[in-house]
Amino acid sequence: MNTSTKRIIGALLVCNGILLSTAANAEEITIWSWDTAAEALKSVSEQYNATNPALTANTVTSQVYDQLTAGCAAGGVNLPDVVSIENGEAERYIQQFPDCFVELSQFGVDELKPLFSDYKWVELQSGDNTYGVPWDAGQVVTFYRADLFDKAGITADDIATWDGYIEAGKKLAAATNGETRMALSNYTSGLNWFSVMAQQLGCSVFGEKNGETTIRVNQAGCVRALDQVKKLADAGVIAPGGWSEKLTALKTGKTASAVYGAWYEGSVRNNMPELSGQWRVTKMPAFEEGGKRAANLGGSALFITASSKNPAAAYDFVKFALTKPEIQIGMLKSHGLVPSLLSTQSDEYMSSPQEYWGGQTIWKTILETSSDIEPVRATPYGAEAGDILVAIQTAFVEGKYDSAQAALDEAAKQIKNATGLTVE
Amino acid sequence: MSPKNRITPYAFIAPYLIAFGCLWLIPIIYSFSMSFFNTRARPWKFDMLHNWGRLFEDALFLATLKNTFLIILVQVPFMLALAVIFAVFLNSKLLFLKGIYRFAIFAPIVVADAAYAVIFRLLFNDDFGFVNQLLNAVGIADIAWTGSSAGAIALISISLTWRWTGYNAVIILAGLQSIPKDIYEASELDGASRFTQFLYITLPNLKPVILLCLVLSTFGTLQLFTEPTLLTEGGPGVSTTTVAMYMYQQGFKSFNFGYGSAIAYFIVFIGLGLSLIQFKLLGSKSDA
Repeated sequence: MNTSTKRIIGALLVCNGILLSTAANAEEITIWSWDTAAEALKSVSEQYNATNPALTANTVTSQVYDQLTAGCAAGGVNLPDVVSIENGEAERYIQQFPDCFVELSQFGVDELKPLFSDYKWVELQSGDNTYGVPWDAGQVVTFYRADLFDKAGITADDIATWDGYIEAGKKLAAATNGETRMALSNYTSGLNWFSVMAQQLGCSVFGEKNGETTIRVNQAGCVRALDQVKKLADAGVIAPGGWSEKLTALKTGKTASAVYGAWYEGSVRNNMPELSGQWRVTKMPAFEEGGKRAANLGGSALFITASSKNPAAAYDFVKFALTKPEIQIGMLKSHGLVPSLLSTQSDEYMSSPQEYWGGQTIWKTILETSSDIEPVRATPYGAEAGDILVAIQTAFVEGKYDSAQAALDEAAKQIKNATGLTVE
Repeated sequence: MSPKNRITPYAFIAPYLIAFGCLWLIPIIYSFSMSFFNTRARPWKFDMLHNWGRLFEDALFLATLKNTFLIILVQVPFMLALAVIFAVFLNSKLLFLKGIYRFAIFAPIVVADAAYAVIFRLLFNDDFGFVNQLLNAVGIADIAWTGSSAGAIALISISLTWRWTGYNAVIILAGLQSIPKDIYEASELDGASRFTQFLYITLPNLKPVILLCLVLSTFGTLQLFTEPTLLTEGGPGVSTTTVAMYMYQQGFKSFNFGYGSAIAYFIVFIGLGLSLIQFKLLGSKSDA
C-alpha cells in the first residue's frame, strides 16, 4: 500500500469517527452556516452552551448548499440539526426535498409570527407550512464615499432618484478624469439591481393569481426596471462586476458607491478599515421624486432537518439565536448582520452614531425603510428564471432587443416554456 | 471444462463487476429513466416528452449548444493545426535540446485546471490585468476579456489552446515517429521538397492520429466546464456557458434532475454522432 492510499484510508477513518461521535451523542446539536454568518453563529453557540449545560450547540462552517443537496437527495444522511439557507434559495429545497425539513408548527412557530415583518415569513412558507425562522434582513440602501462625492460636488440629495444617480455619475466621472464610476453591478451575471428596482415598482418575476403561480416579468414595473439598468450601463455610470470585483473597486476608489443589502455594511467596514470616516449611507434611489426608496435583497433563515435526533432541542437553539434582542444586536455589532427581529429596532444601539460611518446613525436610516418593503414570494423556479433573465438582460444591455418590453416578452415566453406556468 | 472452472473466472472479476454495477451501471440506467419524468416537485410524475420535448424549444439550451459548437468548429481545428506544427518542429533533426522543448510544450497539462484558471483570471483582468497593460504598452486599448461577449469567448479559446495544444502535440509527435523513415528517403531521391514531403507523406500518415486528437478534443469540449466556470462564470449573460454547465445548472441549481439527465444524454448522443461523422470524413485508416 502506498502512502497516499494509506492517507486516504486514514482520512476516511477519521471522517467516520467524527460522524459516529456526533451520531452517538444526542445531546449535541450541529449547525451549518457560511462565512460571516457562521462566525456569528459560533459566538451564539458559545453563549447558548454557557446557559444550557445539558445541551451542546456546535456551529460548523460549511459550503452549505452542495452538501445539503447531497444529504437531502440521499434521504437525510450526514446532515446537521440546524442549517442556514438564504430566503431566496429556501423554496427550491422545500419543494424538491419536503421530507428533509421539519415543519415548525408543531413547536409553536405561530407564536413567533408577530415578532418579524410579514415579508420575512412569506419566503419561508409553502402552502400553510412554515419551515424556517427568519434571521437577518437585507434592506437595500446606497453606501457611498462622502470624500469622493464632495470632490465632485455631489450631495446625498442628488442621488434620491435613479436619474439623479446617473447625473451624479457623470459629474463624478468629470471630476475624476473618468477614473471613478458610481458602482459595479452584476448585470451580466445576476439580477441584483433588476430585481431590486422591479421590487420598488411593485413588480416581480412571479406572482400569484387564484392560488396559482403566474409569470409577471413582462409587466410595466419590470419593463421600467430593465430600461433603467440599460440607461445606467449606457451612461457608463455602472460597469459589470461580481462580489470580489465590487470590493476591490470600492477599496481602490474605482467606484464610489454600492446599492446593496444592509448586510454589506460588515463587508465594507471589515475590508476597508483604512477608509473609516469616509463612508455614508443613504436610502436607495427612487424612480421619481417621493417614490419608494426601499427593497429587500437576500437575508437568511434557520431550518431544522428532519434527520435531526433532537428537533425540539434544535428549535430551542433557533429560538435562542433568533428571537432574543440582545443576541441579535450582538451579531449586528460584530458582523453587521441586520436583525429582522422587530423588537431590536427600539434598541438604543440602533440609534447610536457609528464611528466608521463618520458618526452617522446608519442603522436608523436602514431600519426606517423596513416598513416600505414589498413582500416578494419565492418560487422553486427562481434559479431557472434567473438564468433566462440574466441572458436576456445581457443581450438587452448589448442592444440586441428593440425595447425592454420586447426583451421581457421573450423572457416571459422562455420562462413559460421552462416552467409550464401561465403569463399573467 | 468442469462447471467449477466456469465459475472461477467470474468470481475473479466479480469485485469489479459489482463495483461497476453499483457505481456506474445502475446510475447510468437510473439517470436515463429520470429523463422521462417530470421532476419539478415530489412525487416525480412519469411524462415521456416533458424533458426531451423541452430541449428543442429551450432558447437557453440552444444558445449553450451554439457556444459549445463554436469552440468545436473554431478553437479545436486551430489548436490541432498548431499542435501539428509544434510536433513537426519537435521532430526536426536540426533541433537541439529536444527534451527541454518537449517538456515546455507539454508542461501546461501538468498544471491543475483550477490553478491555471485562477492565474489566467488575474492575467486577463479587465482593469488591472497584465495582458491589458501589455496591450496598452503597444498602443492597443483595453480589451474587456470578461466584460464583453466577444472578449469572453476569446479568453476561453486562448486558455483552452494554451492548456491542450501541448497534449495533442505530444500525441501527434508519437504518430510522426511511427512514420517509416524510408518513405522520406525514397521521396528525397525523387527530389521532393520538404513542403511536398509534409503535404504528401506526413499529413496522410498522420490522419489516424489527428482523428484520435479530434475525437478526444470534441468529447473534451462537449464536457467543457472548468474553464468557463472559473474564468467567466459562463458570462457575460450566457455567451460562454457550455452545454455541460447548463446541465449542471439545471440539475443542481434548479433541481430539475429530469431535465438535467435529458441534457446529459443529449450530449452523449451528440458526441457519438460527431465522432461517427469524423470517422466517415477522415476514415479510420491512413490512405498512405
